[in-house]
Order: sequence, then C-alpha cells, then structure tokens
Amino acid sequence: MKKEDKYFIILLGIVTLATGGVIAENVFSVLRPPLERRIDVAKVKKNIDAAGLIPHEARFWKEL
Amino acid sequence: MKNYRAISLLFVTLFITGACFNLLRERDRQAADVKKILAACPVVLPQAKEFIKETAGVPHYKAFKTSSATANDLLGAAVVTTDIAPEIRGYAGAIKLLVGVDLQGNISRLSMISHSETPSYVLEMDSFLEQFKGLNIHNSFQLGRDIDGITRATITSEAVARAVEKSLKQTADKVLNLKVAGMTMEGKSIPLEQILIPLLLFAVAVTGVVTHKTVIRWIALLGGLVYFGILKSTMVSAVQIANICLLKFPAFHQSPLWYMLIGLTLITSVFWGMVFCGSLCPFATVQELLYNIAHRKSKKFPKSGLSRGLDQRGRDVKYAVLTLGLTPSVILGNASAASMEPFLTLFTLKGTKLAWGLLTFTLIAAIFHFRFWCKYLCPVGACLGLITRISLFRIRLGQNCINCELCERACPTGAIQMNEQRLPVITHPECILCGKCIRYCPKETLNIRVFTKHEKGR
Repeated sequence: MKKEDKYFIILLGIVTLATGGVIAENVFSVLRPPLERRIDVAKVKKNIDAAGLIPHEARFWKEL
Repeated sequence: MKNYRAISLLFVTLFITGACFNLLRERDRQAADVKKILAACPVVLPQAKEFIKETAGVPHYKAFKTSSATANDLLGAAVVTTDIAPEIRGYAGAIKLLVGVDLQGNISRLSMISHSETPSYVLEMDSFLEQFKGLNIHNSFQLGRDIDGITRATITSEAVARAVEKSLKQTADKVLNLKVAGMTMEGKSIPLEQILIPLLLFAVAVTGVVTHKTVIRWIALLGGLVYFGILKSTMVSAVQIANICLLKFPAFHQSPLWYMLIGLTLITSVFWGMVFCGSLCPFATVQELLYNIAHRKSKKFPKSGLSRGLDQRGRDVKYAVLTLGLTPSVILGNASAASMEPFLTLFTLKGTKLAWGLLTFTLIAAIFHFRFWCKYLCPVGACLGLITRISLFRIRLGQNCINCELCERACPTGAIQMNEQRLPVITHPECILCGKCIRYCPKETLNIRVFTKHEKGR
C-alpha cells in the first residue's frame, strides 16, 4: 500500500468518526429530557436545608 | 461504476418513509406536548395552585391562587405560542413555548415545550428566553434593540420574539382585558435582499457554468462565501434535506432565503447539475482556497497520489454519512440530528469540542485533497449528485475526440475516467461543473449539451 493511501485512510477514518460523533451528540441532545425532569428539585432543596445552607445572590451559597 | 440507480432508490424510499412516519408520529407528539404543557404550567406561574384549561376564544390555561379557582383567586394565564401565532415558525418549523402572564400583563416566565431548531445554533436558548422575564404589554420586542438575539440564529430569535409578543398581547387583551400597546413587528416587510442577492449569485454561477469561465466561477464562489457563509451563516445542509423529508418548512415571509437557496439549488441541479456545490458553496470555497494556496507552485494539473480504487471507495462514504444523518432525523422526527457539517462551526464559530475537531481535520485534509469534505463526506453533495442523474444539460462528449486524455488530467474532482476505447466517461454525480475539461479540450469535443434519452442507460 502506498504512503499516500495510508495517510488518506487515516484522515478519512478520523473525519468519518468525528462526523459520526457529531451526529451522536446531536441525537443525544434531541433525546435528553428537559432539565426540569432530570433534577429532583424537592430532593435538592431537602439536601440544601439539611446541610444548613441558603441561597445567596442566586449563584453562591452561604451558611445559615 | 457505482449503481446510482440503487442509491437513488434507497434515498427516495428513505424520504417517503420519513415523510409518512413523521405524519403518523405528529399525533403522538401532540399528546406528549400536552403532558409537557401541564408540567410547565406551575413553572411559568409558580404561585398558582390550580390551572383550568379554557378553549373558547384564545386557548389558554387560567391560573388560580387556590384550588377553589374563583375569580378572586385569578393570578394570570398561561398560553402556548403555537395556539396564538401558528403562522410564526422558526428555521425548522414551529417553536412551541408556554408563556406565563400575570394580571398586570407581565411575563412571569417562559418554558420551552418543543422545537426542531439546530442545537448548535441555539446553544444560548435558555439565556435568550431569560430576557423575556418581566417584559410587559407596554414593552416593544424589537430584536437587537429590546432583546439580544441568539448570534447567527436570527430567524429563530425573531420567531420567538414575535410569537411571545403576540401571545402576551393577545392574552392580555382577550383573556385579562388589559389595554395593550401595538405589536412591534406587525407588518414587517419581506427582506428583499434575501431574494435578490441569492438570485444574483445563482445567475452569476450559472453564467460561469455555461461560459465555463474561471473568473466568473470565482466571482460566484467568493460572493457565496461572503453572503451565504460570512453574512448569513447558511447554506444547503443536511438539516434542510432532513427538514424537507420531515415536511417542516419555515414561513416564507420570515425566511425567504431558505426558499431561495433550496429552490434555486434544486432548479439549477435539475437543469445543469451541481451548480451550488461547484460555484456557490461557501465551505467548498474555503477548501478550494486552501488547496489552491498549498498547490500554487505545483504543476498545471496537481495529481493526487491516491490509488484510483481507494479514491472511488472513499466517495461512497458520503452516501453512508447522508444515511447516518437522515435516519435518526426521520426516527426522532427532528432534523437537528443531521446537523453535522463543519461549515456550521466555521461560520458560526460555535460548536462542541468534537465539532471543532471535525472542522480542524477537514481543513487539514482539504490542504492535501481537493475539496476533501465535498468529495468524500458531504451529504448535500451526495444528495445533489443523485439529482444530476436527471439533469437536462450536461457536459457531453461530441465527435472528434483525439484521446488526448487532457480532460481526465484536468478534472480536479476525478469525475472523468477514460474507458477501454480511451474515450472520456463523465461521472456526473461527482462533476462540480468547473469547466476545466471543456477549456482544456483541444478539439472542443466536450461541451454542455442537452442530455439525450439514449444516454440515460449509462
């Protein structure tokens, strides 16, 4: 097999795999359930309360 | 030679199956959306304890403070944008949002129910929707002035802004009996440039094909790169093919460019062949520029060192890519799955790590192989190539061929091969109509001529 052929097979293989990967990413992004359903808000709130934390300025947490 | 008839049949079957499958599934999707809407009602109006659906007049969900649901308990209403503004669609069909409106006519919150937009174009959807929170019936919803659109997703952003504004103002007016300001974007005229510039570019491209002049072809290529690529970040893509398969189209007044691009590409493909791929595709232009710069000092016809058999087998990958993109789109009923082309990452400068990796390797490969993506992987090229089988005008061999083989050596895509009689045979699904073979033919034997019936068996 020629050297050019080997390089071509490697390049085409990488690009084809990456294309397949991008398609897979897209499929997962379509299949992924909405954020609300993945997070059990009640459970998270309970855990936060149990840890003695309250939300501060929306992004940070401070101790009670 | 490949069995293009069988490949065409496969894709026609996939298209018809996809369209039928989607029509059947649409009913199930409506039921799933109803569940999502019911789940989203407490999200958009969190203080409400009870929601009652009203179907008379403007369809909406009345939100009440207590479960007794009396008029005094009324907190506001939640409406689905597609119920109020079904005519407003995004790039890939309807964008269904639930809008919560309080008694003062303020938007309490929005919740996305469903959409079919390309994920890589709408990565910032959540932060975009956050901007609507607190806007009220007296506000205007002008994109770019009052609301920051999602970069490079103007059609989607505008569709959301218009649908939310219309839903809010109609709900306030007809459900909550509030005095409402006029619509910001009502009566917006069709953007004429989206009709005229594509027309002009396709006219230049066809002129380049017919006259086979390199200068005209490059004017079209650079025009396509600037307008479709840099300014609009759009081109014929696998997502559009999947959307056609799923019978999802944007509204013409919102996106005349979509119709011009698809319509003119199909028309020129049926008449001449791959005019878009050869003379207008912005990503192909980038690849050709890279290749030409890298080979500027090489001889007249840079020869690929690749084995012919491997080159031919490599070209089959694009049909696999097209199948791989279309099949999940058809199964999921969402064209986003087919969004794999690296042009998206290049012109939007957005993408996942894998998408950036794909772009990088594609551009590296394009330095060594002429139009690497187009030749071996492009799903659009695969699809349009199959259409060229019915093209009316094609590059055809006339009389007086002297078997000089110059056309074969000049063809940058390797679409010409000499047969046993040392006569050129053109593989039209691989021909980008660059016209090099015609220009270099010493006897002017090759030219664009009407495709006659007796040739169809070839």
